[in-house]
Amino acid sequence: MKQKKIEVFCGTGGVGKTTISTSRALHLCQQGRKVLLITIDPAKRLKQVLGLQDEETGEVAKIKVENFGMETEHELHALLLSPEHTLNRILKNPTENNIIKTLSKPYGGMNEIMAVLEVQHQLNKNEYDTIVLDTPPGKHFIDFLESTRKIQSFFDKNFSEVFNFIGNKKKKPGRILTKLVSTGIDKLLTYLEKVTGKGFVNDFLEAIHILYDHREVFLNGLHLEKDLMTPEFSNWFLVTSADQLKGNDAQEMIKASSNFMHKDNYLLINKSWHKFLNNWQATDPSLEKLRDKLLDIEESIQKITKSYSISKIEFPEIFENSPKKQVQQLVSIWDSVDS
Amino acid sequence: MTALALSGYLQSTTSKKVYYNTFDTQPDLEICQSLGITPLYLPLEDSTAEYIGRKLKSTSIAKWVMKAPFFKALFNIVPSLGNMITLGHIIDRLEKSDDEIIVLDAPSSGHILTVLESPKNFNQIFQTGALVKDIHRMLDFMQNPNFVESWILSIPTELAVTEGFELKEKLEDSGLTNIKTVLNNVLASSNEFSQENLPEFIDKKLKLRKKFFLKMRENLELLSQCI
Repeated sequence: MKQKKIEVFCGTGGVGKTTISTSRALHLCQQGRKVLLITIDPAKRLKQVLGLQDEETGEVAKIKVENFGMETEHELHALLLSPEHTLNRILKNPTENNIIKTLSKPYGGMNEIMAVLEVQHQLNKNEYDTIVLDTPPGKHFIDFLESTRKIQSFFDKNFSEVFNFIGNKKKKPGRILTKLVSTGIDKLLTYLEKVTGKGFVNDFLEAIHILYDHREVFLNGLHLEKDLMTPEFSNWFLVTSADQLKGNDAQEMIKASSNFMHKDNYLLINKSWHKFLNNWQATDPSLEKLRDKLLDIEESIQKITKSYSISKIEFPEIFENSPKKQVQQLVSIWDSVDS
Repeated sequence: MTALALSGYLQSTTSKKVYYNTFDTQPDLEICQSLGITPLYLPLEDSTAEYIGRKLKSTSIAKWVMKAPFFKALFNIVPSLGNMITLGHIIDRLEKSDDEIIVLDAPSSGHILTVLESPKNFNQIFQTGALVKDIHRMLDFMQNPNFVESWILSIPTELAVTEGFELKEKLEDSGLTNIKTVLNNVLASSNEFSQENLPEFIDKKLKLRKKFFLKMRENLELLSQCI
């Protein structure tokens, strides 16, 4: 498997994305690469796996690789995404705008957009050989992938012309509204004001103005989509799990991500019992029935995804309760995948 | 799957009309049909047009607003605005009809918090005006244990159970009270197959599960909260 600048791990909830992506990051470190592991899932299970504290959210933290049985010369960094931190970095100073402040809170709803900008920022810094991305579950990883398009449409040049016309920061919101009358957007704002009250419209215009002032940073995030679609640049791992009936989810995921992925993509079937079940000589009919039922569940993913041209990798079930110990064992499986 | 099962159960045990909703995605119509469950899909654009129409007292202006490219772009970049409107639509519907139950198959934990926090966040954003009254109504509804019951499902792993308990705490912070936690997909001993002669890997898995239950029971009283 070729090593790339960015590796993306996607999948539905509970399939083991976080442990798998952490093990991949550690494996790449062992290969001598300098790695940054980023989680953009608001649930932040990575915090628990790596033993990070809440206060470290939003900052790149150096991970003690010795906790995973590795030598200290290897370097792994991790980042728990904080939309607020990312936005404050972009704006250079924390804003007092009520709308921006509220929406950039941890569950304010701007997680995926800020994730795109943060990943692009880390790529621009060029400090890491590989960035490993642990994405949000299910449909929300598609939201992440589509974020660049959302940024593009928000900063569309037609809107841009209107908002450039709004004027500079010194102008009072009242004057801004007067100017807008002649642009046609005033009608929309009048309707908005009817529903939301005048205070909101002023805050809204100020928020738009602040964001448009930093338009270049937002538009720089558009490079990420192109990079993710380039085989030389990225590896994609669609993680699914054999222990639950995840066949249909895996199929949906392959379909949904087909617009973004290229030939270097992998369906990673985690928690597989295949090799254990195939070696099991059941000794009585009830156990034979159990084995066949479990094999049937295992094979449903293979059957459903058979028609898609995607390489499949099977990771066996790890018989450990501790996430840290699971990660340690998964690292050695990556060794065999790469060899 | 569990939400579908709950829909089926409620349908067979109550006289109310039961609907299955998957929030901002379309429910799997095939599976709903095969189980005899009525899907309820509320596309964001329709919900928003209906809501704005009611506020502006004009459906055609609302449709025009929704077609405006700038507003489309705004809804895309601030998805929590759409979340709040969809949630408002569901609550509106339930307030109007006493004989309906909507089973909401929610997105993952981080994202359901974004949905449930959206009324609180937009309350801070709007502060005054017609919308604030609506938001208070939504919050009152959500915080009433007679109207809303939440089920948190976790698979039996340390990471998932911790996430479930963190979610429970955050839902309680948001004022939700009627919350139940469920441990799902448990591999447990069963009378369906012989307990003797189990292969080593299943035996190992069962022992690990038992150890896990004991640890969780000590620390989090998980078993007493399991259903």
